[in-house]
Amino acid sequence: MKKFGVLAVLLLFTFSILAGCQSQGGKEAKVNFPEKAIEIIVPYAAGGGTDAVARALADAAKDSFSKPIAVVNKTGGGGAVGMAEGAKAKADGHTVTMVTVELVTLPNMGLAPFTYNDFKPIIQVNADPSALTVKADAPWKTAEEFLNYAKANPGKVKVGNSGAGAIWHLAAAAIEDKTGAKFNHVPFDGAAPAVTALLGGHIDAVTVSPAEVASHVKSGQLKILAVASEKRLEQFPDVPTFKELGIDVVVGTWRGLAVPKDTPDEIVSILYDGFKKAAEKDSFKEFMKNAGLGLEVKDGKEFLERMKNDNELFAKLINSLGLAKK
Amino acid sequence: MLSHLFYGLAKVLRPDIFLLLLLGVWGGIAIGSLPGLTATMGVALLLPVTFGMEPEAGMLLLLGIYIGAIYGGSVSAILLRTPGTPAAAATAMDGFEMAKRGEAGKALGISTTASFIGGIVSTLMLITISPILAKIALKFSAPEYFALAIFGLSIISSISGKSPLKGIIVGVFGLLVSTIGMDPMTSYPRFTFGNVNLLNGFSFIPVMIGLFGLAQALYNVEESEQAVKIQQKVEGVLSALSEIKRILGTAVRSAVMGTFIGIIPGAGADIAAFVSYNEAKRWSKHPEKFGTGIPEGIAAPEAGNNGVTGGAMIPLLTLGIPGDAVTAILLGALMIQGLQPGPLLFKEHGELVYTIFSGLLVGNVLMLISGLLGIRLFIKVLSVPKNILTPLIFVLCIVGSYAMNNSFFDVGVMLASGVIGYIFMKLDFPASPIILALILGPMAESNLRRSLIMSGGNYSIFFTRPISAFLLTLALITFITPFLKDFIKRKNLGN
Amino acid sequence: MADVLVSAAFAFISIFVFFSTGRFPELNINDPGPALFPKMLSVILLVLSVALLLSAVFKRRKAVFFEHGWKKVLFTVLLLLLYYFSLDILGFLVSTSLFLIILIRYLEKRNLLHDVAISVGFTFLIYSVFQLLLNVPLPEFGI
Repeated sequence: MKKFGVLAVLLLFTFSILAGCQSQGGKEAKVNFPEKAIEIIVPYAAGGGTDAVARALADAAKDSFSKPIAVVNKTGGGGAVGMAEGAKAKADGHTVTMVTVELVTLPNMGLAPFTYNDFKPIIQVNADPSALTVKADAPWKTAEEFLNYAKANPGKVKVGNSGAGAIWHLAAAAIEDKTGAKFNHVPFDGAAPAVTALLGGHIDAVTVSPAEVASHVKSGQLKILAVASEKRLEQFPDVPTFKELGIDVVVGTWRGLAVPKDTPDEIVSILYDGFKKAAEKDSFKEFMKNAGLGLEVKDGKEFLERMKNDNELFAKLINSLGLAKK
Repeated sequence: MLSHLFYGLAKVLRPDIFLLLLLGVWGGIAIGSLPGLTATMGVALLLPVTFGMEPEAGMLLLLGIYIGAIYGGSVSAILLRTPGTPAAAATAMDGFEMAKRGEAGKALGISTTASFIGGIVSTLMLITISPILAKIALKFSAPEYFALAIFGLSIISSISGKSPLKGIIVGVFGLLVSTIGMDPMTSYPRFTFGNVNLLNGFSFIPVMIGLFGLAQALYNVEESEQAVKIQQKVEGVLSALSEIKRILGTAVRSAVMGTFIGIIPGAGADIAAFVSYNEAKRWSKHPEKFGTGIPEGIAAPEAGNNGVTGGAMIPLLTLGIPGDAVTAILLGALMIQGLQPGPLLFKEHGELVYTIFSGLLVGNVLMLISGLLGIRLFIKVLSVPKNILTPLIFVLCIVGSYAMNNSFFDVGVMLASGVIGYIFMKLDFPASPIILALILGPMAESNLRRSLIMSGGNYSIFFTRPISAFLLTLALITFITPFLKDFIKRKNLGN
Repeated sequence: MADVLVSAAFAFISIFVFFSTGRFPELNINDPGPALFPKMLSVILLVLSVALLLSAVFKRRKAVFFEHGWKKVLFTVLLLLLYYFSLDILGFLVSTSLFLIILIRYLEKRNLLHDVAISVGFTFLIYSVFQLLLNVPLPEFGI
């Protein structure tokens, strides 16, 4: 009997603490949001680029909302696990997912139980194009020379990417698609090893993001031949875009926030206002600049447009590479 | 150069920065000794805290964590046979045996001193000859990585204890398990049965926690009836100091090896620990005693894994290429401060570089002092009655495997691995080969195939490149040595 | 006997793997494909398990698997499973405290108050280290 009493007291104790944590409800308002902490699911490991963006954004947004923001890493499946969980979350706006370009590549490869239609985009904060990069002492001075060589020697030019079906693999495939060149695609386990292999002269080119090669370009070991963006980059004003060279390739990665598709619009707009304010803060801009990430703030509608376009483009490329799982 | 170092030292000894470094080392030891919280994760978790700091302060905090955590993993490996980090899995083999004899204090003393030697030797190499060494990082391409992985795997035959056959079987089984998930070259999902959680394969940390920690705890439960209380000798520090002469050679050799492995991008402290252990055994006069709890068996992996700390910084600072997973995060930390690691860093921010050098030296000294002073405290864990300690270990295993990815799936993986590990333990199947296979399997496969893609399907690429040919030969020798020795011994016995 | 069972299990796994690799695609002519590694390994594993089987049959070591404490181990494993499933429902604090109290008392009954204090204290210690200090979230109260 004595035992029981202790146990009961103990249980009561723990319950009351838990209850205390939960029952601090918000004030009465039209749409009562946020009622509790907002959780941002990051589908990649702590310490990576996506994680850093999410944490910097959460930090900048902490004054925008009446409740705290927590960043939770849910890794696995090249982002599939975290995004799948984000898509299935309760559609009350308290679980926000940091979605990345893999949202439209994984489903097309048959690797993910979701599509971009399962989400309602809130805001896009980042976009980075692919940058065709070679060694500084490579025989090719321009992108045309490089592509002409690749066309004359099909399958000879070794182009490193960050993994089969990853965005930089698709970027190289998009260049092939538009120019008729034929590369020897070499997948690496992430962009960094691919860049290292390029520095060591083991491959001929990479098609990763400018940030991932920037330090080596500045130190004179690598050179960027062209970037796959609409406009030239602020950081490398002398590097032409593919479009300028008459090759219509605009491809790259992006990051932003999204909620499950059934989330009410009023809540989405509260979230948008809050994170928009955060993304325009100097601290966040400074972070993005230092990290070499392209700041590109767009609203939900424009973000959805980009998802739609990329989804079509990647569906085609993934099929032509034979990466779609049957 | 010396004047630069003194400048750096002055900066490190500034009270606020010194305090951060000390906190980093202490926090690192705590993080490292908790299963599931690795050095990588510790540094990643503290990274956002450094955003607002000045670059020197932030870097030294993170470096303190790095040094502390790589060392801290050995504490729980020795006391509980639960490696806090993968780098300490090799230490568990001899460390736990020694602790079982009541010499946990001595084991911890050896691991602390060896870790210190590893850290200091590699930092000195970093300071003095890093530009020369950095070139190694670029020499490694797919064929070399494949050869390195095969060399690492060849160690299985010598760490399998009583039955090499059983060791190799579980090793091959581990390699098979490592193929679960998206294929590295085509992203085709293998053996995933449509489960998204399996796309990246089994996470390696939960498997390790299960095979070592949970399995040992289950074993404790079984033994709890006739548990003999082992009286722990406390003269740890002193007895460890008396062992220094014995382990010095092994530790320095392992430290140098650790440094080299640290330089190679993508090969980190876990591989260094196993390779150092194996080499110590190869060069030992009494290799048969490895695995029974001898000082060299602790000193080698610990000096090797802490050797990686300085080694991994070499390509980071000189080339802007991270040498392992932790330095990859440090690269991000530097960039967020507006600094670009690479050849220009020495020219433009020489002061920061020398502050980092001095910070590594001071940090290792702090780790040595804290570690030696902490031994009495750490050992107290073992005076907790088993009926209480064992349940606490179970909770640590569960929390550790959950915290990695916030995933219940991983907890399930850990539990299943624990039960399998327990069965293996009962049947004399060693657990270390599985760990080695899970670390090196993906490295071997992807680099084999990457090499072939790069060479146009030509297998000769592995034998015409000197480093690769050398490592493959070494692998063959390593693999067959235990069998040859066994054969010779039997023949001698027969005569 | 136990070795025989284990080698049979490994043999079964290797045969299963060997046949499942048949469906794996091939993309690049120079890449031996996703099937090569598992297929090779499955053959090696099969050969090794036959070797193990033979050595087990010849040695005939006495099986020492089921000893004194197996009931305790079984109970612990079941309790762990219960704990695992309760984490999602009851949350970390409640289920961990309960798990600890039950297991500690099961293994050896000493002072109840002492055991309860340790269980709850340790639970809160872990909670504060992970959740509050390191900001690693633990499962929350689910109902």
